[in-house]
Amino acid sequence: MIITRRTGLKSLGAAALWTSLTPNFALANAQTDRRFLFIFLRGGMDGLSAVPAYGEPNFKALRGELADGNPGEGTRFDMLKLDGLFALNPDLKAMHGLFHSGELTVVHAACHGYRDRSHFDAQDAFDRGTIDKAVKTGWLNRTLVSLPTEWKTGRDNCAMGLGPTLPLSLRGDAQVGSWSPPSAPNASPDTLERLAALYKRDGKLGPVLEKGLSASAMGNAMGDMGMEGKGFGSAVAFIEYAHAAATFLNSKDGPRLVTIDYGNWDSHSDQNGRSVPGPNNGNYAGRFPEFYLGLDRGIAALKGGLEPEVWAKTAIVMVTEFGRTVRINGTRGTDHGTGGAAFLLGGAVKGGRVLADWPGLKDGDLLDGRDLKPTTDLRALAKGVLREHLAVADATLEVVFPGSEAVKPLEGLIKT
Amino acid sequence: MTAKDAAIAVNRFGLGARPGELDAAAGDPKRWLLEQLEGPYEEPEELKGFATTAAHRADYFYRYMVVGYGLGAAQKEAKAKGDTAKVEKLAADIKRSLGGYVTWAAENFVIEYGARTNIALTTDRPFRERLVRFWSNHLVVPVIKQQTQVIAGAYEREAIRPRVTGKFADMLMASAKNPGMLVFLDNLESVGPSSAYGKASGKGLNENLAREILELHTMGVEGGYTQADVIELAKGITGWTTWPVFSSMDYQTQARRGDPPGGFVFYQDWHEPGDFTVVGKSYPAGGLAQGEAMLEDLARKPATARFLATKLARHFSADEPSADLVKRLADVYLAHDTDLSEMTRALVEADEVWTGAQSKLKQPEDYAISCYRALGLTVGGGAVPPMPLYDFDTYDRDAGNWAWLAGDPFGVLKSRSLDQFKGERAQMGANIANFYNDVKAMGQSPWNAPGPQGWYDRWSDWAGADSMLKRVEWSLALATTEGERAADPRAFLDTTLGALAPGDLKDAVARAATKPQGIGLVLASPDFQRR
Repeated sequence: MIITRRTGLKSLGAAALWTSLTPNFALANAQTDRRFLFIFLRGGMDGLSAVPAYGEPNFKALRGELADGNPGEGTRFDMLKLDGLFALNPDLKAMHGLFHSGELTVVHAACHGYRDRSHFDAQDAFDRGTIDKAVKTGWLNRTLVSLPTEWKTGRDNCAMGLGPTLPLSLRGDAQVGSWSPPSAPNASPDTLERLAALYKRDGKLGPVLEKGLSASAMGNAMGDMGMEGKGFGSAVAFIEYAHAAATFLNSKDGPRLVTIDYGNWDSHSDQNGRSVPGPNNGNYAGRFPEFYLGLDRGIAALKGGLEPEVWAKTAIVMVTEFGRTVRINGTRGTDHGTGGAAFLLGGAVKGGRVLADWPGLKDGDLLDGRDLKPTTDLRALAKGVLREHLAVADATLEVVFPGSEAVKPLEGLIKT
Repeated sequence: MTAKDAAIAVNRFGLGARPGELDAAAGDPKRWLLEQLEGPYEEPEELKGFATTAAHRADYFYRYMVVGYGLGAAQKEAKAKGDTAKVEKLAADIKRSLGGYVTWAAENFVIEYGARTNIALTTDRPFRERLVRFWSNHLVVPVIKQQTQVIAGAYEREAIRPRVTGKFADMLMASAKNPGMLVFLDNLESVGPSSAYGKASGKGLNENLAREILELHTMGVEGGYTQADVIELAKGITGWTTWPVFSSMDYQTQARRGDPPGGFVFYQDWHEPGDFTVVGKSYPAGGLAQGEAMLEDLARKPATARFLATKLARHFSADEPSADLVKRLADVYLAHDTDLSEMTRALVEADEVWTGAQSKLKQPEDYAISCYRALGLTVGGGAVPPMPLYDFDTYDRDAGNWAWLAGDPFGVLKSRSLDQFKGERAQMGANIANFYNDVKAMGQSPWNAPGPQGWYDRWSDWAGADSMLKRVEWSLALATTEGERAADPRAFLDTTLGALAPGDLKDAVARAATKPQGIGLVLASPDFQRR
């Protein structure tokens, strides 16, 4: 599938039928210049594979063939050392560099407020910001609603979801945009104009299509989005969306809040993909090494694609809905668990640290005898970033994360 | 019954009107729907000749493990003897066998997707086809894994399609025993840790299938089961697997070579011994029957009835279906021993589904299908020929693990030519793949739901700005290429949306500057997006 770059709408100005794209260059001030990127690794990334606790005496016994050797020993799973207890997955080389340059913080033994190990409930709870299913809007949308108007005015899309569907986290009262690479030739402006009249009477679909057209026009105006698509696979897609996110976030009057979903992290079997001989140079075609590589290359694309002054104002939160079982299961993988790893990175981040109230991995330390015990609530991470990076008021944080009064924001996450 | 009811029948319950379909439904729209539920199952012509899940599994095993390992061993031996010519020939054969398989698997997927799509595009029983898609999404096997890519279609043909008007208990059992589901949710390698084989091998439980049976297939996440129930159900279905399984191949090639390859098998010596309790009921130690009894009971739980009734009502009635409708459907389901035909009949008979018209947003694939149906198009044009499969019976099982390779091991490679995708067939494959990729760009990769929960089914799951833009751009482009051959746009509107077409759309179509523009306005209109 070759994705051709859209050029038509730009010159024809068809999007102007829907909305004004008049840029406002008088906007920039310290606060509205901040960029926030939220990356959701859906499917339950194995936190002890992303950030192995190699210094734990029984770590290797619990993880079996998923964790042989120590950092630097050149084994198949050759971890990248962070400190005396933790390392990074061998494929996270760029992220390892960011850790040591003080631009990446690891949060470990962390989980959201949800405990029942269903992917879909856990993801929804994260996206809503609460386990309360009566709440129908997303935490990022409620954040947007609360932000001061100067944050939103003059921007056609102050927030955007990258991908063909809008994640629940961004759904709600505030209108947000979404974007994915163009796939069909441009329609004639005359036909679009006639169609616009029909959509105007549809209270639900009208505003939705309007947002789509304006995002598309913004994509055109910025030219090459680095999305000369090359096939399937969420790892490839993630790298491409990371390129696109950098382009959108670099734009002066572009979005300030962007989300990317990176899915398919559910690793019940053959997690390292290196244990069964077969094709691919003797390695069975497991997808998890490739997934970590995709993650790392996507992060490298962001760091490389964002202009240095934009990178300096950027905070990226990267989470998953839950960690996985501490012990390897019967099929060289891991099952749904609880505590896991999360990342905070970017030029605005006070990094180079692992934030963990480490619960240990001895039998009595595990939640229900099987999972890494969560000791940090990921809402504390999100609240801390919203407060320090976007100056969201404490009272608003309770609207964004209802019923989370007891979850105090983490402090000292962002450079002052 | 009114003209509007006919339009609701073909749009809300069907896949959008083909030319003439509104007339067919107009006499008695309810009857038109209910007749589609009647009669014994007949496999559509388009699907005849495609391989079974068992044949696919056997073939996959043969390709990857027997040829891969066997030729690898032969290559090593040749290397030791210094026979470089043979080493090179074997290297080429390995590449052809394994690399060719990956290509073939992708092509097989495209071809079967085309066949399934053509059924949807041409069937005169579109309501039944919607039910196939609904239940296939409920007990979903997506093509996320390489090993499911080749059997997702066969799984749907075997476990789902014949049973959409049968009992859910039977469909659940067929699904849980199908290699497609066993592979997708990892049960094929789940071994009871205290079983004979578990103790000898150190292999253990994988709880994935058991969890999803409880959470997604039967009771629902709020149905009242616990983590302990997940584990006990997982133990109850240990040994439900297929032969062969890669990681225990030595065990199987030595001990199980007489089993029929690829299909469902139960290994007693993998089965965890003991009584297990699932949702308050104890199931005495036993073999296959222990897990079967668990599934039979789970299908008949009131929580399961509620969960299924809610999903069915949500799919056809409204994002938030009335509690009364859900209760009625659940009651019918339980009163008729999980009979889906009766539950579906109750749905059609419900007043709620005939009011509140156009309250559901079509999912992208259904939207694309309805546009093609309106224009009378198919993908690929004509019947899709099935893919030849290697005949596994020629595999000489009694000749030892690898000795049979000494015969003519490479005949199999010649029997499956990749050249068949040249010329007309290449064009057909490209047409199908284009349709697939267009739907994917709208936010839905057909047959590839993001996980075992299947596709979500509410307005907010599909009404993204980018997705809506992609739909509009796609249908306008389609009208540009196909609209000239279509009916007069005013007649086109009458035969597709019929009585659901609002006045301003009629006016806009009547005033269209060109025929393709008029067709495009119908297909891209907000009214055509809804159902």
